[in-house]
Amino acid sequence: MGNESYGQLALHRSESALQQGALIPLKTRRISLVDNHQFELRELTSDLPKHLRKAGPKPNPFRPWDQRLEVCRIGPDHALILNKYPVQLGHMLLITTTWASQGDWLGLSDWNAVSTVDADTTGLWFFNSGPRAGASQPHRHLQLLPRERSAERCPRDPWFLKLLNNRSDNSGAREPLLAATAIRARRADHPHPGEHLSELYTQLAAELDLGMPGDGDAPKAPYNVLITTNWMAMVKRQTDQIHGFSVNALGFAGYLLATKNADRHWLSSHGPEQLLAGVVAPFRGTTDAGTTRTMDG
Amino acid sequence: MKSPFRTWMQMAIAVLAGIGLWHVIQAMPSTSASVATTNDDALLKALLESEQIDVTPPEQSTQAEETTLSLSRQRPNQVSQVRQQPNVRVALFKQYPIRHLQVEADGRCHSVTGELQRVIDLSRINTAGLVCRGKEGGSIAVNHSPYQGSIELVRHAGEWLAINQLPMEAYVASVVGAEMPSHWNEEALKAQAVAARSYALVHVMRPASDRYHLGDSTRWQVYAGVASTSGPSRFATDATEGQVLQFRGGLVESLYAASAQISAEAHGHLGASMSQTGAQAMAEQGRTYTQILDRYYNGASLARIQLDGE
Repeated sequence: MGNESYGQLALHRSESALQQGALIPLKTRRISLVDNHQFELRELTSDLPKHLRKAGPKPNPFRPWDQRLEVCRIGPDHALILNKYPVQLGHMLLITTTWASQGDWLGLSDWNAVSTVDADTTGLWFFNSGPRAGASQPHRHLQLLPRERSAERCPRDPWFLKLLNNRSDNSGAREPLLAATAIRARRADHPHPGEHLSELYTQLAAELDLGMPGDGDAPKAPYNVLITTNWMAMVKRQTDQIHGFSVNALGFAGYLLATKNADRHWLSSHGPEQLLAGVVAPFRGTTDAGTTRTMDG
Repeated sequence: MKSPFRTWMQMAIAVLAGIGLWHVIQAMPSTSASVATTNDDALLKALLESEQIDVTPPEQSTQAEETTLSLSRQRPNQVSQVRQQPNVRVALFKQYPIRHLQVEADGRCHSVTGELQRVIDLSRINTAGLVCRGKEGGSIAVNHSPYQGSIELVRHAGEWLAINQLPMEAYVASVVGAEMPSHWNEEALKAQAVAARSYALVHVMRPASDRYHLGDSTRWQVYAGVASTSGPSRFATDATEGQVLQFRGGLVESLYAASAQISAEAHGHLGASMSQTGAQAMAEQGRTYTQILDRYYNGASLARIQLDGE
């Protein structure tokens, strides 16, 4: 196994975990969204997995984590494991080996672990900072959907790339989605990639007025992080629930999951962008930090 | 006692009813009263801020309006130019964190300790309150990118954030250049200028923070200082000087208006925000900028920012 990438390891581990019954892939069916290529809507055809159900006490599935799902230890503080409920084969979680809260600021050791994995197996990284950002577990975990280097990272990659180039074909106004999104380019040549990711994360949080990592206070609002080879983006959130959909970071990447509760009629009549606009921090909320002059208190 | 700034505030927006139909209403229309009241403090602050870099600060007077008018008669160009545009305070997040500042010849920086410097390595400075000011159109290089107006440094999330204060029209000219290619049709550029100015004015009245009105990234509207200001972007800005969109007496920032009630109404009346490529296509078909704005902001009309009641 010495020369295998984390991605290959994850696939091999997936096979054995499936046989052992440790992996429960979500069964979904692709639904086409007319005239919208920036979204991929899937309908859940299996039962709602336990971790998405509201009722009942939940044990921490990451402490200890299921050894059958472990891909590799990463550095002294992290482990790379398979997501028990993968949305695609090889869906991985980067978790802390000891307790750390999903709601606290990510730290340099987290970013060093991300950069270690990313240098070997890249893809779409995402993070949900808490329940209102779509997180289902309170134990710290970043997620990776592996992608070939040449493959498109996610359906909404072009939308983010436009922002990166300071373009957003609308003007004189910012839609809620734009007002809640900050993005920075990743440098491929940075000598300390972990520190670089940590800097970008801090700068994005500063732009969204979420506060500062390490200053003792928790982030001021829930948020999602999305990372590709080219950029890191952060979205300031208000809620995860809208019209029966639960939206996490993947929604902003263009992947939507419809459960039985989802109002697909609303989605088809209003469009997925409106769905996302409804879960980000509202316009006035995005301009709130440090000011006493918000309209709605 | 009635504040002089209150009088100014009441004269702040003279509405020109109907796109393309220009007539100045001298008194503030009653429909805008609620809007102005809501934003009283913010606008007052904006007015006070514009005083700070005023070339001829007004004398203390409870008759501010008359004072302004008389100054206008004495020095028409200078005074009216300053009076008719608020200053915009833009947080330069795209330059965050600031590492280097350089002021062109004749410009100066001063900190609370009063020292004067022109080139500043910010990794060696840790006192807040540093303000740099260019002179007579001179610029200040922030991380080697030039900006007009003044630069104030504030601590933000543990690093230096630059706040660029400059007159509204200079700001708009830069936004037009950043948001739309300069070779595009001048009517499209003019429509962009009005939309950009409207958006900015809403933020001047309802600031994003108590330290700045808005930021420079795609979260707000893109602003890149001198680098994105071009001949065509300046021309489009000059040709529409002071013009903003209004809807039933409130300022229109596309779907957002200056009060919740107007915002809700505007949602029903106004479509999505202006598409830049759509605006360019209409301009190429011979439409004027007012027709373009009417298409994207149906039901809105043009108003002119006017701080001197003239």
